[in-house]
Amino acid sequence: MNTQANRDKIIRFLRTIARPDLAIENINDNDGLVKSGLIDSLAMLEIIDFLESEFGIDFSETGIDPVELESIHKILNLIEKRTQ
Amino acid sequence: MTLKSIYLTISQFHENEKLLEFSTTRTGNVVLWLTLLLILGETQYLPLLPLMILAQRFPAQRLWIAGLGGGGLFLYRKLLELEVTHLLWFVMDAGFVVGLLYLFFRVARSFTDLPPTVRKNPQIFLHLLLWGCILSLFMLPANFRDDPAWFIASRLTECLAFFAFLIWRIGLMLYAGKRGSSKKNGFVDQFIYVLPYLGSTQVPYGKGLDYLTQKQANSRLDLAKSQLAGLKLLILSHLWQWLLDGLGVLFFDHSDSSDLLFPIPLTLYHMDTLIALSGHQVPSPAIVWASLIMDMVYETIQLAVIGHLIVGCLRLLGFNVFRNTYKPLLSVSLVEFWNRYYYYFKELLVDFFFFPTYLKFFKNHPRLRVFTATMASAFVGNFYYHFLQHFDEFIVNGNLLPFVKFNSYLFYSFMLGIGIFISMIREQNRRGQPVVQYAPRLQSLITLRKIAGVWLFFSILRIWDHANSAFMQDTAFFFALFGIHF
Repeated sequence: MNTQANRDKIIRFLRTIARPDLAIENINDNDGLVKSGLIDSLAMLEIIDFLESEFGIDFSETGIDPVELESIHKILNLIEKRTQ
Repeated sequence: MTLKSIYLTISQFHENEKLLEFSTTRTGNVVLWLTLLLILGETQYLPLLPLMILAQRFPAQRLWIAGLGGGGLFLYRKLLELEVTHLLWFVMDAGFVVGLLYLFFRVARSFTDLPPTVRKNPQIFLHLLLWGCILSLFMLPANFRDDPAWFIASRLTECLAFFAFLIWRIGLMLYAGKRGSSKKNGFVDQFIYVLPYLGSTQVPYGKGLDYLTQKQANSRLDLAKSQLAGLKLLILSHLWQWLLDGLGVLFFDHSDSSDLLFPIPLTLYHMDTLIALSGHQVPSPAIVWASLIMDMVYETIQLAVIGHLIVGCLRLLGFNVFRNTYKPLLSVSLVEFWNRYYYYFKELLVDFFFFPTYLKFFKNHPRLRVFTATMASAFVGNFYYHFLQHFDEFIVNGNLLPFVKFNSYLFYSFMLGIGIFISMIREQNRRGQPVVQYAPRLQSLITLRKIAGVWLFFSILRIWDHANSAFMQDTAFFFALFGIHF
């Protein structure tokens, strides 16, 4: 699956967990999702759930570094790395 | 200019572009270092000032400078604490500690070559190794520390004390090995977090090398931002210390008030004194409740003072890491307080307990998954961390604390876990819901009510976490708050 399609999926998902008063269109792919206020740190758990169910990524063996989920760009990198 | 904009200009001085530009000039630098000399002058962190200057002069060698300098200072201070004063033993012990760390560094580097069981559970094996060493002390004669015949064993216990102290940092090194990132860095690069001059507890402020290098300044402007942000924290640390001194004089100083210029408005007590008092002369309910709240506020500010100093120094060295304490008293939920109160301890629990549990168990049961992971970190991990910490005294001096001493903290951790779980679920339920708009005054009242709830929870919870905790005594005190005596 190409990066653009993955990105669209992520954006669609982030809209469901983002703060309703902030538009996801206002942040760049490299902006920190928590730092920008779009999501809170707890929403990271939901991002993990999403990556497990949507992309079949299994973190149980490798563990996770929350930094890898900091921005849309980093999430895309993670998906690419783990689904190769 | 409004009052708010003046406040923002002063409080956000570290983001002022002109000031940032000025701080990159030679004059700006001199001003910065002189200011730091004044601020750090009375603290134990003054020896870091030359390292900060060197790290700025040679940014490519920043990890080496901070690691070797800070590591040397750490070993020096720690070995003096352990009363190792003879030069030969000093060098031998320091050599042993560095050797031990090198061994783990090699293990982290060759992570993929480890047996599958160890590779799967590196942290469990690491802790089993430590417990094996601790339990082996029970096989030695009771007085072996004072017996010249057991001199070598006695020396080894000094090194075991280091191993126990550094266990979580070694754990971070193994995590880096698991992620494959330890191959990018050399052994000396690790010193900055494994030999921590900054921070006096087992909690790794600034986490491990992966996090530190991500937050490292990569340009002169980045460094200036990091330095000014660090300076701000050091100034805040001093301001909070003055506030603590003020609170001490106003509320907690019980000396004869006739000596003072003004009468003490309210005599309050720190938690351990309050609970000790309750058995004899019970203060009025108003004093008891005011003491509970004010002691929680006092302790939170105390933590901010220490954390700001440590993180401030890290930022001045060029690592623009997150604050340890970030406005926890303004939190509107328990989980927010927990996130902002002692960030690096929370991160330790998240890295070593929360995520490993969350990623392994109950994937198809979201609530149970969050519950198990939260209890694994805030309850089990939190308790285990403190339980292990108390073995330092056993390793060094042979004094073993009875388990009853930990009952209170066990209960504290359990209730903390439950509180955080409920708060997390409430936050999750709220997420994605439209924000209800209230009139500004009503909104402020709602926020204040939430903040008061958080203060109340943590003030009460601290009844089971103080220097002289004992479960029955603390629980009796809790019920006495509501007029129930037994």
